[in-house]
Amino acid sequence: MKGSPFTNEIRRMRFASGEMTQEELARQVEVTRQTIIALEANRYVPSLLLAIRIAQVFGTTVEKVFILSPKAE
Amino acid sequence: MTSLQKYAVFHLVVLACTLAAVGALLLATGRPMASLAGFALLALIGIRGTSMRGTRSPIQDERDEQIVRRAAAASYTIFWICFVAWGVVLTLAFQNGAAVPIVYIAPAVWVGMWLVLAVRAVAILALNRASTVDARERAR
Repeated sequence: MKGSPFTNEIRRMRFASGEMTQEELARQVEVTRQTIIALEANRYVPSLLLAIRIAQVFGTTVEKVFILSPKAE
Repeated sequence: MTSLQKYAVFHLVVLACTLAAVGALLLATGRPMASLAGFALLALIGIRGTSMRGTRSPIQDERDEQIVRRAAAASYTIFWICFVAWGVVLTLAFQNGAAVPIVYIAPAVWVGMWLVLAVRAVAILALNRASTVDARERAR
């Protein structure tokens, strides 16, 4: 789980979405809160399905939530 | 604490009780082979899957699945290293062609099983903790 090729905007987008809690986001995308914590810490690369679900919750696209690190490109 | 973490903690409690039972039987009987009966307590692990409270799977999402896969890989790696090492030790101790007393073989099966479950449970907790701790530090 170390060395994720992504950075992400989940934390920022949560706060921009009415200060949504990790618990609330976890419930909406059907994962545990620990998974959201791991994602925000760039310690976990989500499946395509989870990435799409998260993007849908924030009403945006996957590439605006998950950004490929320059090293991984 | 997630269901997966509770599952791992439950396994560790059962494993500790098993070890205590084997130790107590060994002290009480003084017979190593008889003390192996204590390993029957490992059957308690099955309760989690069959009890009314345990009907829900401990694996709740894709990260849990990944953690369980990695923990299983770690546990079997440790098991095979120990298994091969034990085989080498017995070969060196008894030399080729000599009969190895059953007292050195039978416990290996149970201890091996115990080891797999223990490493798996510890790895589950460690892999869960790793990302949680980092996230908390980052949030400061």
